[in-house]
Amino acid sequence: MTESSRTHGESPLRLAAQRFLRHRLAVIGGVLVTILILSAVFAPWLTDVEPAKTNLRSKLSPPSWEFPFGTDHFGRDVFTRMLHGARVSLLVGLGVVLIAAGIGTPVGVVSGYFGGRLDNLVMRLMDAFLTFPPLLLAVAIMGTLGPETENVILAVGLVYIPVFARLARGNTLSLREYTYVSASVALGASSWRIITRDILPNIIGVILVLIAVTFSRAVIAEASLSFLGLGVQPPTASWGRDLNEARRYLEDAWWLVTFPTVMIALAVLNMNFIGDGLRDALDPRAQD
Amino acid sequence: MGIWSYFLRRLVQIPLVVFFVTVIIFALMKVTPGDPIAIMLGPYATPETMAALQAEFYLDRSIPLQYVLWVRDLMSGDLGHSIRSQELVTDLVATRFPVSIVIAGMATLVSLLIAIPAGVYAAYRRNSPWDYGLMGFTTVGLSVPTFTLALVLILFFALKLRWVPISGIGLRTWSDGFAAFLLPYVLPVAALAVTTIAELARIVRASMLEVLEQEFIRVARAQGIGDALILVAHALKNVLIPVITVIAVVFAFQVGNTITIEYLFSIPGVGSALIAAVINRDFPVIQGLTLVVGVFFIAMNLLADILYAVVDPRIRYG
Repeated sequence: MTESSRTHGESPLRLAAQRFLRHRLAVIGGVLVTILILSAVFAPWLTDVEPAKTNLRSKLSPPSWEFPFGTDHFGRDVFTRMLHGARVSLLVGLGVVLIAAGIGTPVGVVSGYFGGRLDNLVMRLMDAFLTFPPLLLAVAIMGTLGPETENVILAVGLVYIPVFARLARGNTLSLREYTYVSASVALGASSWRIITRDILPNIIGVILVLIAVTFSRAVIAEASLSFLGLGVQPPTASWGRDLNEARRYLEDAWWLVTFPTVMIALAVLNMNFIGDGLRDALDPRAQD
Repeated sequence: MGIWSYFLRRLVQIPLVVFFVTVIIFALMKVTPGDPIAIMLGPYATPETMAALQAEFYLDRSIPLQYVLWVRDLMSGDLGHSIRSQELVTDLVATRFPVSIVIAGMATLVSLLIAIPAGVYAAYRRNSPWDYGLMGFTTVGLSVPTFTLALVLILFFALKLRWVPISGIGLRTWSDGFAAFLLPYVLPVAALAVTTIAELARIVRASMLEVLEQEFIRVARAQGIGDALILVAHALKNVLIPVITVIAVVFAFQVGNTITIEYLFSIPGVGSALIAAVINRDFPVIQGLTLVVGVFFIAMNLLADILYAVVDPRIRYG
């Protein structure tokens, strides 16, 4: 009784927000990722050092008041590089999500809604993309496009289009069976109207959850590609790229490998917490 | 729908998927910004070598014809050769693929051996410190990229403690002794296994919890059968079903996952060959290796489907 009177008249958005806020780890994740985003956006104002500024006199200095995260083999301030590395990671994550969700979702919805031979053809193309391990395909695409930050976004974004298409198609197929959709069809609503009014609003929840997951996977992919030397090129700061260079100083300068590792792990872990929270909030059917 | 019509439908889909796989790989070289021949040969290429290569890749024909001729070569087992070393791509695959398969296989085996008991015990002692510990480990294990984990392992176990070497896979043989041969595998396999241990332990724990709720377990308990026997003889059998169905997927995941590990530990597998080809812009090698991996994954997915159907008769085919 109290439950129903409390929820009565509240918008679904508000209910979802309440469910999200009850998820403690998701809230922590949300706070930490917000801090990460803010420090990435305001990186140039947070430190007065250039990320690529070398200073050979103070190279490989351990963490101190002057250099909170120490310096690398060129005397570059690791703290500054971590902040600027966050810019690259988040930018790639954002670009990948825009490409993958922006193309994959409409493809999946249209394919699932109209069905038939086109659907079969489109989904087999998506299967073909999903045949490859994501990182391996991204590496191969980088090989043809050449190592540039924009190409990392393109390659990884392309790899994740089919994941969105498949999810959007599956949900569209099951929504088509609902009475309110058949009612719209029977009333003579146009396909465009049904897709935009009846289907899209109802799959936004699961798509948002996938966006959170894909964002963290894109961060890992960027770090991996840059680690392999195929992604972001020096002297641009990137967590993965800096880890590659830290390999040579593993024993002598623990801070060089520690801070990028911690940054990557923290970013991914907290984005996954947000994803878990969103799943609880927006996709009540999904059970852990 | 019956099991055979399900298989038939899956089988019918495969040629179309393979067709698209070849189209994607063919397109890889077509979308290159600039002239692929000039990129591959570098600035010092003579017009003669460029013309020879152009003819070899059928670049003087129309694009659809290029694709047809390329596929015809593939069908006859000709995957082309490296622009740099002239090595045949088929030879490269023959020497590199087994190395990756062995490492991926070891990582899969280790994951199963650790994840199954760990997951079963966590479910049996639900909400115990052990259970929370394992769940915490899986959360972190699924978030930390394999190569960062490998760096930490190298730092502690190879550099500080000096228990295991960093490299040596492919350099030593059985004749160097069991330990010398096997030790270089420890760190790469451990780093690879963490992600799949986390994944599998979650699956095992979840399905074990489900099984433990069921009637026949309670009956067995009421009959006074010991917990250990119940877990092993009654529950485990049911837990293995979801595990067996994902083994092929886990194995395939590991083959793809080895790429950063092969780079980091200088392992002469498919991944490191692909990275070298990408750095050299060696298009025939990129295409050949990607194709072989793609076909391998299609086969693994089919195997996963077959295992799924054979092991679990409850599955509805729809």
